[in-house]
Formats: sequence, structure tokens, C-alpha cells
Amino acid sequence: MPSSAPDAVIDATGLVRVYGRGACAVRALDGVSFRLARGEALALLGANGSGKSTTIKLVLGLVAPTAGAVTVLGGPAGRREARAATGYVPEEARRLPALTGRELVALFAGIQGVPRAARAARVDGALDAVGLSQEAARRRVPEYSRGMARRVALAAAWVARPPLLVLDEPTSGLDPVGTEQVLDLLRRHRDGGGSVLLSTHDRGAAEGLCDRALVLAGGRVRAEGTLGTLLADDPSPTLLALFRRVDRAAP
Amino acid sequence: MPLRSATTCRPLAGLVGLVGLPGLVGLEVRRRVRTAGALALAGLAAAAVAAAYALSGAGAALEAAAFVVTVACAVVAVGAASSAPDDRASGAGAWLAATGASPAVRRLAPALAAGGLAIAAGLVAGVLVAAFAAVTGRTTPVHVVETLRVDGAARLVASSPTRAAARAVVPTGPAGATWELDVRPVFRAADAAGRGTTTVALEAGGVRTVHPIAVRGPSTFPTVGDVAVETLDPDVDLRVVAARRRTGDASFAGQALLLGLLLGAAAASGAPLAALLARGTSAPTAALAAALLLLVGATRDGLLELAAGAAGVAGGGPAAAVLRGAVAVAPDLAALGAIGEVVAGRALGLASWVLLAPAAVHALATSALLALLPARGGLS
Repeated sequence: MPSSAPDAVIDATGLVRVYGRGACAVRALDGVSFRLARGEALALLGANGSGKSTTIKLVLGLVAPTAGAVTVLGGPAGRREARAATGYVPEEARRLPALTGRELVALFAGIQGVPRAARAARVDGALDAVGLSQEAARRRVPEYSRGMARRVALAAAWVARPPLLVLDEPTSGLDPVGTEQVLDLLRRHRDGGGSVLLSTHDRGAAEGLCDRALVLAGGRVRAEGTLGTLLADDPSPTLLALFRRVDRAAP
Repeated sequence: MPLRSATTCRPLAGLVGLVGLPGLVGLEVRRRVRTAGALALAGLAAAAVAAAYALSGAGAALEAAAFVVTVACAVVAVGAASSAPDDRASGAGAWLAATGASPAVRRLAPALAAGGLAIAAGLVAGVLVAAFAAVTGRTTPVHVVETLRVDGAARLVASSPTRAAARAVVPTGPAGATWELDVRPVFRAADAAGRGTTTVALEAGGVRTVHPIAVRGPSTFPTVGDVAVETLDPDVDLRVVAARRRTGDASFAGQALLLGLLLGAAAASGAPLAALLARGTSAPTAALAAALLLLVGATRDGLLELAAGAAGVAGGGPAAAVLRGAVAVAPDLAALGAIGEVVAGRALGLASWVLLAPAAVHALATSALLALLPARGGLS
């Protein structure tokens, strides 16, 4: 039975994930460990293929670790209680094209256990929180721009007020106003005691929300700390420079 | 202002493991109804039902329409095969798998939605058939019947110098109503095989009457108490399938509606089968396999007879095994025989609905497999 620190929402220890077998095996994660506390936001940073998405899949219980363990809210990742307590925003949010924005948020409210009597108000509140008008919410998801689809996916993840939000590129495709609205919602979630794990390439999102960042490269954690600390040594403090530096430092 | 997080799952719903089922079934229904071709397909199906009804001869109109309705309902039911492969391809499966809905609920939702839509399609088609019948005037008189006991021989044999007659006695009940004798021929002579009619004698209360009847199907007579039935044709024996007493009339529109419901329910048994097959293969392959198994289930008696014939031929064992194996895994759709009941003018009784039981058991079994079989790699 995995054990975790008392205040840890996510406790990952020595995560290894290998895809494929034999000569075709790919080691997507190689000994990743981290913790996410209540009321904390953690950014997963790294270039494409660094292991961010695999880390998120392991936290969500969508794939099992080859070695190591990850607990969510004290129990193994992927068990029903953990999934019900997690709101997830995938990278591509237009995957259920039969639904309107409002129906999509209502669907997730139902799945995540929002009582029927409170559902309509919760859906309205979630749509309002991400800045999606009622008129826009009546349109089908395929008609949305990428940014609108992100907002509605965030509303769907947040509608049940889960203790943990896991977001894959939450601000990708959003205009500055939309980005600020989303970050404001996530900050309020964090300040209310919720936890946020997000993968992003957006420095603004990482700086404006996250207390800490984990920099992954080649499936390993190459650096960890506040973004200010991580960027402090660079003459040009950009994520690109940071990624290049950790790549150079990798064995 | 900070937002307070809260876990809002209902404990009872969590215990029964059905959290999210209504929402996911609603999603699956919308997926099917809101596709670009759904309206066109529904229109085509309605036109096919209308054409089948309008273009067939008066007696066959209902039968042709029922065939089209059954095919349309089966197409709707095997549509359950599309969800899992679509979700695997689009990533929606992973999105839904990250929620609190259990894997069993997520897998059952497409089957429930497709099965429900197949039943709804059957009902709508029943309404259409009733409407076409009202417009064209091609209604069939439908009677409420009760099955009568048949005492004596189940196979009527005429007397001859070498054998005594084998007779049956049917308690048809008090006079004033109608009863029907349903028979099938067993030809004794090769040159009698093309014969369409034969002759029987009925004896009741000491009165003997002779009647020409069709060698196959029901023939009607007035009720006169206990009736002794004897065939007078030495070349054609008659196997008594059933004897029935007509106890009243039934509304044709009502029967069309009930028949549509029954056909939809029978076809719906293919939905969990299609969803189960789709867990391991592509949507078209799963849908085609499920449709083939429905066809096997609808023709199972004929296939079993073929298997029996094949088993008796040298080298026919494998063919018989294949046929029997296909019948064993297919849902038993004996309930489709209800089409013949209504076409023959008999109202659907409890027996017709009881015949749905094997298909329902098959659907429950495949649903259980669908819900309980774990997926490879942890993701449903």
C-alpha cells in the first residue's frame, strides 16, 4: 500500500515508464520524483518529448508506472476516488464534438458527482468563471476556436470544484484576456486550498501561477525550484534558454 | 476571492458505481443523433418502410415493412460499435477515463444508448406503419387468440387398409366463436409434394363435416365444443402446430406499435455485443460481426436444420460444427417470429414477449463481459 506525506496531494516516487519492449522500448520517464502540496501550483516544464505528458498520464492513472509509485490524495493514482477528486484539462479539448459547450460542462458535472439540484447553477458559475458567454455555450464545441475550447474544458474540469486540477497546456491558444481569466481562476482555486499541476511552455502562465517548477529533459528531473531561481543564472532569462541549459547539463 | 475546493461526490452513487451513467448515455445518444447523416438515414429508413408497405401486395405489406424495420433497428443497435474506437482515436477516451466514472459505466454507456435508440426506432417505425396502413387502407384484421389444448395425435394420419387413422381432439369451447387449426404437411408420396390443399373431417356432437384446407398454415372453423380432427388424404399427413380460439379483435395500429417495440427490443440485444467486439477491433469490423451474429440469431432454426443435415453427410462434420458454433454465440432472436403472428392476424400475446428472454439473457451476459473484462494497460 503506497504511503504519502500527510499534506501531499500528489506524491510521486521514482517513476519509471517504459513504452514498448526489447529493442523498440522507449524510456519515457526515468526516476521522476516530486510532491505537490495542498494550496500549491507546480509547473512541469520541458521540451517536447521530455516526459511531461507521461507524468500527467501517470498522475491521472491512465497508464501504470513500470516502476515507482504515485499517490493522489493519499491513495494510488487512478482509483475512482482520486479520479473523482481531479479535474483534468487535456491539450486538445474538442474531442466530444456532439456536445455544446454547456452540455459538455454539464456532462462533467454529472460524471464528477455534482448533485442534480445544484448542477445548473454550478455549470453557469463555471462558464462565467472562464469568461464563456451563455450564447457561446449554446454552440457546439467544433465551432469553437482553440481558445474557447480550452476555456470550456477548464470549466468542465473545475465545475465539480475538485481539490486537484491537472492541466495540459491550459493557456495554449488563448488571447491575453483569456489567458488572464484562466490564470485568475487557477490562482483563486489555489488560494482557496486547491492544488494545480500544469504542463506548459508559457512562461507567463508558469510565473503568474506556480510556486514551483519542475524541469524535465529525457524523462528525468533536471532542475526544480521557483521559476525566478531557475532563470536567475541565465543572461537571457527565457524558457528556451532554460531548456537548452538543462539539455547541455544532461549526461 | 479564493475559491474553496470541495469533493462533491454522492456517497450512495459511489457505492453503486453508477456515477455519470445518465450523462454518458446522454452523450452517446447525442453522438448518434447529431451526426451529419443521422437525419438522412432516418429519412431513408422511413422511406424504405413506406415503400415496403406501399409496394408489397396487401398480405405482404406488413411483413415487408417489419423486415425493413428490423434491419433499421439492427443498424442502430450495432452502431454501439463506433464509440470505443472513435474515443481511442480522438483521445476522448483518455479524457473520460480521467473522470470519476467507472470503466464499467463508460463501457456500458454506448451499449445502453444504442439499445435504447433501437427500441425507440422500433416504436417510431410502428407509428409510421400504423399511419401508412391508415392512409392506404391496408390493414390486416388482428384477433386476440388463446392457445387450445390438442389431445390425441400430434400428427394426423388418414386411415388406409394397412393402418388406422390417427386423430386429434380439440376442445374448441362453446359455439359462437372461431377457432383455427394450424398445420404443416408431411407428404407421403413424391407426387403429392406440390399439393396446396388437402381434406380434413371434423366431428363434433355426432355430426361429421368435411372441409378442404390449405396444407400449410391456419384454417378457421366455428367453435362447437370438443372437435375430433381427422385427415382424409392418405398421401399427406398433417402435423398439428397449434390450435387457437379467437376471443376478440385487436387494433391493427396498436399491434403495429407493439410489433415495432418488440422488433426494436430484439435488435437492441445486438448493442452490447457490438460494443464488446469494438473493444478489440475497429468499428466497422465490430459492427459487421455483430450484424452477422444478429442474422445468425434470426435464422437459427434453419441453420440448426442445415447443421443436422451437414452432420449426416460424409465430411460434413466441420460445417455442422461451424454452424452450431455460430448459433451458440449469437443471440436467440426467436422473438422475430412475432412478425408472422401479426401478419397471420394474431395479436401479440405474452408468449411472443417471453420469446425475447433468451435475447435478453444474451444481452445481459455480453453486458457483464463488457463491464467486467479488464482492459490491457489499465485504460478502458
